[in-house]
Amino acid sequence: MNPREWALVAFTLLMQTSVGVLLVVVALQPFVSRGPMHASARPFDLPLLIAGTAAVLALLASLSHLGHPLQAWLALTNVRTSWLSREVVLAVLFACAGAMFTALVRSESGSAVVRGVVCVLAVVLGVAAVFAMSRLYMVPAQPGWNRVTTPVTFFATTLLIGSVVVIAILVSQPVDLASPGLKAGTYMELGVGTYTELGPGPYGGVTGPLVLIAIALLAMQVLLIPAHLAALVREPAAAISAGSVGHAATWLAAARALAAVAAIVLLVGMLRGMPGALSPAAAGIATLVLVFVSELLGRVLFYASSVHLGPV
Amino acid sequence: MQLAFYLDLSACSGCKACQVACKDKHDLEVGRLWRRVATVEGGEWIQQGAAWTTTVFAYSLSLSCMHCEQPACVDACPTRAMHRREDGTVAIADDRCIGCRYCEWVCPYGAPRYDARAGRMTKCDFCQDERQAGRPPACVAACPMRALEFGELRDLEARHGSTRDIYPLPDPAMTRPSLVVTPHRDAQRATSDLGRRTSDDAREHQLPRIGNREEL
Repeated sequence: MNPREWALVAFTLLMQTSVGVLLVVVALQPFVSRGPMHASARPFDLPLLIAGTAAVLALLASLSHLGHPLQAWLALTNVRTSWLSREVVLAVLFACAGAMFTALVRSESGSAVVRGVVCVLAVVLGVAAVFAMSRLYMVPAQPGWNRVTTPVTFFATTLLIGSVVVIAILVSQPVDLASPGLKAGTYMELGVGTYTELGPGPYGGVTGPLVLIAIALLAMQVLLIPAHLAALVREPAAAISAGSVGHAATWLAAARALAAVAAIVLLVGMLRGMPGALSPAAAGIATLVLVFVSELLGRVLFYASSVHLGPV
Repeated sequence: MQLAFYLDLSACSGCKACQVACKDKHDLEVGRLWRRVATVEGGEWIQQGAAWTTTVFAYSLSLSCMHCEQPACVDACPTRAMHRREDGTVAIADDRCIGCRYCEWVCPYGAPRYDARAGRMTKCDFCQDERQAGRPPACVAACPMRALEFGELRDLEARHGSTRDIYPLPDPAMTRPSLVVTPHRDAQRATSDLGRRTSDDAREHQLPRIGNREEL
């Protein structure tokens, strides 16, 4: 794999992490019920901080693969025909909208309408950025990438990492149920003027469905691995530049599947109220690490399996 | 106006004088080629009773930027550094190229090449300075077989036909390359079922393949 592609691995994974965390935080709104605001019930502060940090690191990583990073602003000038330009514009706008949303939530300023508008804007820009991010790889000269599995896996990664980050944080910082001012269960502020009920325990309430979603996405990613490897073998004879992975693809895919299956085992354990010797926090962090390693290997495999059509 | 190259594969001996002339003219370091010569080879020995016959063949294909009429690189370039000139050639505005290398991925001919020292993309500019001085591009001037020509695309098509779907070039419908080819007698059509055959097929049945891939 070309060294500069490590910067792209970092950019795509971190930006998808940022979008995914924000999407998951916002997606919990249907579970919202009005209740009293309480200082101890702000478990979404950390996910939003992580989303913001990931977006900033992603943009910095994207600069590092350029020959002339100081002229990077020029990449904003061809949104009319270039998916790469659209990706850059959307990613920057998403980062700005996400930062604004986080600032409004943290400072508890702005009306509910303003927070709602900024929230919707950040979500739309984030989804559009991930779509553009995947669409720019779908070019005829790259038959290995020019498949519907490219946007499918990019969006799966987005939601998967987003879910697992939020799960890890929720189970790691259970809110004090005996805290004065809280009604039954615990509450978290969403920043849109309302509150969400977490449920009676760290694995109840909203974390249950999130764990199920994460398991489904992990299973899908694992099931797509054989299809990806088969597609590499079916590389057309006209494709002159074979992927640079060769046999390494199989090992990368196997390691990825192993990490994903281990994460699924931990997530299933969470659903069953395990995790035996593991504390909830340790189980959450271990799951997050395994999922990130799995997605990292998957993304390395994606870039390394570039097959260039034509006489390169 | 659309300038184009004409390539007579029936005359090309694969001597690579065009490749060397291009490197010399543009002072390209090792590994950065604006013009390169692919050797396509294939065929096999077949036993018929007590006799063996051969279908072995080889031909050379001199390739550079195709200065396409619908260039994928121009649409994909995020900075508009890649652009078409009035004469139809595709060029890079150095002051706008940020070295993102996206054009390298989207070009089905592998024409844009990265200059690591300058941090920018480079490619065949159809020897603009030579043409302005009334001389042919360096590759055309160097060809000892007169297998390379250049001119207005419609004129070249009128003289030599409009064939350009030669293996291993991708389907010309993709970007409409400004190239006219007189095929070698054994040249395979890019749009034939060959493009759908796999690399394993190619190895097993000795279908045409590039013999000097690592040089390109």
